[in-house]
Amino acid sequence: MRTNRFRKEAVAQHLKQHFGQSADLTLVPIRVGSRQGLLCYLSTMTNTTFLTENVTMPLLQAYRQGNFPEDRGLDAVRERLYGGLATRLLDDPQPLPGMLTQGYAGLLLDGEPLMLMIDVKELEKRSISEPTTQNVIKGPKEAFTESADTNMSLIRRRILNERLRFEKFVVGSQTKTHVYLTFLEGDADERILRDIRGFLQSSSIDSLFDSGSLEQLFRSRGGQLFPTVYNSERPDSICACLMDKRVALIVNGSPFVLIVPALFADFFESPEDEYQWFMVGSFIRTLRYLAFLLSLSLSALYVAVTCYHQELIPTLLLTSIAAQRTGIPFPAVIEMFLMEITFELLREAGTRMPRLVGQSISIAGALVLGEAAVQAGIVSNITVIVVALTAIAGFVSPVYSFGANIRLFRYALIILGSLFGLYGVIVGFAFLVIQLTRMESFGIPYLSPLSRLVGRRSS
Amino acid sequence: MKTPRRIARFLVAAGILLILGGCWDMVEVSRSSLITGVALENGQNHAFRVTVEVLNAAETMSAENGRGDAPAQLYTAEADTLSEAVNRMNEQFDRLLIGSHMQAIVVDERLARKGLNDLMDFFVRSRYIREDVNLVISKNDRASDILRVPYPGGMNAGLAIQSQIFNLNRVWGGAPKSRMNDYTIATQTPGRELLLAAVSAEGPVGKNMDSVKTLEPKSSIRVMDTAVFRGDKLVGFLPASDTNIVLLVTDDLEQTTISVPLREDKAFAAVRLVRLHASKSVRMHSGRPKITLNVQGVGFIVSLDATMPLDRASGYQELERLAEGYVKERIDATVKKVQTDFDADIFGFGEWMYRHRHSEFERISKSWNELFAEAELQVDVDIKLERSELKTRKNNEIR
Repeated sequence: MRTNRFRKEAVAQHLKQHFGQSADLTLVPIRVGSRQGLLCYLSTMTNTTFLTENVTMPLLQAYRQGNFPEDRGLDAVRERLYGGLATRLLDDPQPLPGMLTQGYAGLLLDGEPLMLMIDVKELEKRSISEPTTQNVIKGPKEAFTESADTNMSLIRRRILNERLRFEKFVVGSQTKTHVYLTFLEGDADERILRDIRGFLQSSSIDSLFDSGSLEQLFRSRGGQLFPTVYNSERPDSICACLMDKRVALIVNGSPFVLIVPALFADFFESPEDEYQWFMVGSFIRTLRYLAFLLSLSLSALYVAVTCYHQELIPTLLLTSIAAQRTGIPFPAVIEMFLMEITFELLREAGTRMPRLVGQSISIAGALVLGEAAVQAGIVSNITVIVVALTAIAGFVSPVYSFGANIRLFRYALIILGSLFGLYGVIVGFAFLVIQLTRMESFGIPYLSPLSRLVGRRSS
Repeated sequence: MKTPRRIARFLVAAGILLILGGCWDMVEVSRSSLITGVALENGQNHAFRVTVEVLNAAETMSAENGRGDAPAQLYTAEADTLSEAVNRMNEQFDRLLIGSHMQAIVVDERLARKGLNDLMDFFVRSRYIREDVNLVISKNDRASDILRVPYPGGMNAGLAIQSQIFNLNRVWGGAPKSRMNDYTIATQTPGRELLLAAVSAEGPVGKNMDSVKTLEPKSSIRVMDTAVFRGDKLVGFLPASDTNIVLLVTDDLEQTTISVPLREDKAFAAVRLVRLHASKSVRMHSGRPKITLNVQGVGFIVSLDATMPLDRASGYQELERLAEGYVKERIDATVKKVQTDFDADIFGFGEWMYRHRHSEFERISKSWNELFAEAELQVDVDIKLERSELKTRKNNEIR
């Protein structure tokens, strides 16, 4: 008889073989009338209260009241008692361990040819809170959380459209992380979807804990200098992108949802721009481009111009710079790097410090390093101004990772500027522009809204 | 593997590029000084004597922690070429000199009479000298004395001359713009002679900053007259009071104020003229140039000594007539003076002919200045008085 497949002892043995002595593997022997049974689940993936109320209690109650469908098997149990729950019948014990890790509880009754799997997954999760990295003044204040289910719900409740799809993929040979490909059926480019599906299915990574890793995987495919994947923790931003015929990737465990394809101009756009008068929105957007240029080039231009092209500086400014730099022991470029590195240290320390001591970092940074370094004559005021301005401008991009990218180019430009003057800066810029124009994000030219009106594949 | 090799090759190439490129032409601003003014004179042992005004950055207005030292210092060198003199300045000075921020070139009157072309060649050729550097002539005084006039508040002579000439030109038209570019344009345009501002130092020029520690500065720079050139040689000076009329004729005047004499004795009406436009035409009439000049402008009555009915059109018409007559008179007098004193067409009448009657002008271009001296002038002036500032009547006319 086939019943032998789901003998209680055999299943328990099978599970112990897979999970070893893991403390969260729970095997509860139960008795329903005369029949022996086994309830198995992972206590870490389920909520015991929920399990008791919704699985065990109905079973026992039904038996006591005498309407337990003893003779008609698990299929009837499933229909009668667990009507509201997601259940599956298993005829092969092989996928059992895998299903337990996904939050199913297995119910087994001696003599039954099948095993009932009940989805009782309930995890502790953070409630929806305000975004921490992409704040807006005006606009929705919800942010994604680490739970992909919550995130999907946040999207679904904004786009009440039956064409919205969440396609599930499992990425990571060890972690088996769930990744949901989200798009509007019919709107999203089928070619891009095929590309991403293929990529997700064929990816050979072990583990995936944050969408950032996935972002880097996409990026390393092209060896690109600028990010080609947009990330946001704001549902309204992601929904706007979905309406814009793009594709979102929700990674379970990450509050940042990815958007592909992402183009250069996207990193200067915040959903907030569209929630206010277009003049203000356009102004702010223009300001971001300006900030990008400033953050990229200001310190390099300062070094290049003060070291090689004094004739470009207005006379009074040059005298002011010369007066301030009198007695400074280092050349302008060393001074600039001193301050830039100092700032990077402060930023890094500031982000990693426990929040309680964070205060002391800003005091040490602002007072001790800024004031004292100038007064001690190690760096000049104007360098501090330039570094502070580039640093502030670097934070203007609505996407943090984009601003962080610019830093590296800035250093390269400073070095070029200090060696070759404006010529070096221009060459560096030319290199960046060439890179930008030849870059593509999933077949769409990276600069497309700026370089041409219709984004079309270049090759 | 291919990639590590490629990276290594890139690093080696970049390293070589960076090391060989180096910082060979880097200039450290804190170890160099700006030249703000240059004075050129006849040398005693050599052709030129060059005095440079070198900025002391720590004492300028933008530096807070000055010690009260002079904001600029003068260094002098003699040589047979300007370049040699400037480049040998480090014989007596410790820092690298940066010439690109020069604001004023002061040329000694005696040197200017010998011709500017040889002097200016060095400046015009140099890529570091700005085209808008002021070129002025020192009248009566040695050129270097102009740079010896001290200024309060960390100002230096070079910047001061530039600002003084700019403001005088803009507010009253009392000096031509006098930039190096104007020199270039004038020398390259047939039928137009060069006009430059002439300055002199009033009062005893000091060796220290004491002059500015008193309420009345002991010395100051005065924009005296306007230097008139023929070719590149200085031929004389036109009184400062005529300069705005010259600029009016050349259509370079932004605004000016004239004192129109009224019918009553010693009574004047001050009229500020703006939006001025002069159009000229020249034609040859039996061997003599016949010049027609049409001046149009708008005026505001700034002050009025006599009682005139400014609340009626007739008052304005009367004043307009007087002002037009006065301006016409001034233009006639000034042109006559230039014709008799200098034989130099500083007004650019010849330039007009060069542009509009080219073939006719080609034949006489060589002797244009002499022909100009005999030219017949006909002036039409049209001034519209628009308003009389805030008040229509004087205070004593209001009961």
